[in-house]
Amino acid sequence: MVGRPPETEIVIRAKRGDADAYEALLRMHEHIAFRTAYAIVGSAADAEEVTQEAFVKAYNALPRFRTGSPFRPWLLRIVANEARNRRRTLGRRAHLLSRAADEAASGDPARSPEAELVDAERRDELFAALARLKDDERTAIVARYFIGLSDEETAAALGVRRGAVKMRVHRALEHLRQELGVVDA
Amino acid sequence: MRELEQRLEAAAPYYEFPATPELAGVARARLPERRPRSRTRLALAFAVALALVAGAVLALSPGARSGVADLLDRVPGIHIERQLSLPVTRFNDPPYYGTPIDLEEARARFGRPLRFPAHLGKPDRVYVREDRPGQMITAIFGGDERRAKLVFSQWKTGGPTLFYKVIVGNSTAEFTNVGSNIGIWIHGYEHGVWYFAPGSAGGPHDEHWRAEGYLAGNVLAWRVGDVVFRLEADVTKERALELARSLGES
Repeated sequence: MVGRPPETEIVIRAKRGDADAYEALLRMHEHIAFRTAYAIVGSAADAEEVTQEAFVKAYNALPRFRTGSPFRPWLLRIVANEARNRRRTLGRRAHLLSRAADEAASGDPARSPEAELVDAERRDELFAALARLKDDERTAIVARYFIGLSDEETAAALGVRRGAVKMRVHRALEHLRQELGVVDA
Repeated sequence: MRELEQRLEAAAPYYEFPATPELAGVARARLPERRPRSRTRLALAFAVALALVAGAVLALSPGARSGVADLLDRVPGIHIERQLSLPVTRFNDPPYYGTPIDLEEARARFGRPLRFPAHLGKPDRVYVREDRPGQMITAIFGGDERRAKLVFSQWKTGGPTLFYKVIVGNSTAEFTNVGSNIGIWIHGYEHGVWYFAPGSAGGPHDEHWRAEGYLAGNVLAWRVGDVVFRLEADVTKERALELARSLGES
């Protein structure tokens, strides 16, 4: 059976200037890279531009990438740096107000329409509170809980060292609790 | 799980991200042309990197040289210089010793009798570096993967400089006699060592070599005939000399 070559193999080929290999690498990570950029800049158009710019920069920086290291955190760090620069340039607060989906996922026959309505209201309340957080705190929550980034990748998104991630997420959660009036034991 | 985290996890599927646009293909169309590196270019890059390291070591703070501390090339393969501070660099721990090799195979390949201090027993690990003329065999005694208790290297003279050493602060470097041979004893809390190492996943054929540094412990280096020996361990000078004088063939 011939499967997809391991990522390290693709990285080695890309480092040698193989554009096909580099495109394959990007395809593996473009979705999460775009979402990370969006979590920082807060606009789809800006996130698209930022991600593309970062992909080109990453290609130029590829000879310095340490072969054998995980590629995704490295790529996300470049994307996040680019996104933070863009956010600073724009000089505006990112708008991340998200709405609950128009059609709440159903499929649970035990749940009444009333219960689903309550859930949707609670989600709206949560997203609204999230939108009121500072940019970095919101990015920490979105990166960790909504995109599902690892510690290392969250560190890349926040532009901090890995050891500081826990503290950042903790602080963001505290402020979100205050916004929502949640008292966790 | 606490309430807020539960709410976040439950809300995650409903958080609206815009659809991911076509990115990889568009980025690819914008990529600059990059030719694969040829062997000539690789050799040139290697030479430039070597010159940069040497330059950094020699020129980092020219006014800071102590005047008498430039112990240039008295032991082949090692260049030593005193500076006020260590150049800012990436320090690797553990350093790159080469490719792991069986002791018997190392013995067969070295082309000279391999020699080790007496009473140390068999080394725990043996490495070979064949990427540079002179070929270096390194034996590790004790310690763990990150920090060896005693590192013993030997290489043939006639090759290029293998180690660029920078000593700072309370560290000292002095000439000493090892039997009838001249040696250098480097002692102190730290000295920086620069050497060439391949990329992490590569070997001698990996194209991305780089200069790396690490902080070494006390070191005694000396030459016997056309072979240089280097012993690194947290030992006194007397003990290092004792080990050096006990050198036998294994």
